[in-house]
Amino acid sequence: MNENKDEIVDSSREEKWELRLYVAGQTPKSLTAFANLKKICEEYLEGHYSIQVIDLLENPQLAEGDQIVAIPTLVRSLPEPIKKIIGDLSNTERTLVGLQIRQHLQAKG
Amino acid sequence: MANNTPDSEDTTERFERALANQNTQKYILKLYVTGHTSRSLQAIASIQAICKEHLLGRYQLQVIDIYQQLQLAEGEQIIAAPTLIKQLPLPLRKLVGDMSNVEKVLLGLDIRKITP
Repeated sequence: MNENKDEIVDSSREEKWELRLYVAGQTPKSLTAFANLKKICEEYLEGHYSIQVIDLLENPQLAEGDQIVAIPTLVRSLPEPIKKIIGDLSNTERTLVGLQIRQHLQAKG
Repeated sequence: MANNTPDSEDTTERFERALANQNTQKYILKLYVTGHTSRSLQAIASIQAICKEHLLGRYQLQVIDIYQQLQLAEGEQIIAAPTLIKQLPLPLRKLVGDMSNVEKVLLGLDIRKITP
């Protein structure tokens, strides 16, 4: 497997993004984060993504694996490397940068 | 359909449903004012406009003049006026002021802004 340290994605076009949104209960903020995430994925990742919402009120032990310290936190588990963004994702530009979506779109050509 | 195992698949679905419901939830609002001062009228006009723009067809607004209403319903504590209370959807929210700052009111009511 290619252990390339660069941020350049490998050339697979069907690369699936795995995103995990950690929340603490269903609140206006967590719903906002979820809505914003969905919008961004629908617009920039068109079908090449999966979103998983993880409620730490129900499963607090799950915070450990991804080392969640704040809520909400979005974790991009795929493609590697892992990226994390804290907040309700209202700032689209910042979210795109944090997830490095533009870079990946450019690499796909 | 109701599955009691709290795994993340259910949580994601729960959030999807909550999001879908958000746009159809009914708002029950009560606006308490003190007489017909310009502040009261401003608040009334402001809230009516907000309701028509953001909650059309799914709100119930009651304006209560506490000078006329000799006895508030049990449990209603009004310290300042105007006060807007959002009874539904939960959670209960109270806003105080003339309601002229639309942004603040929308935030205070957990209303998602309509994006074009």
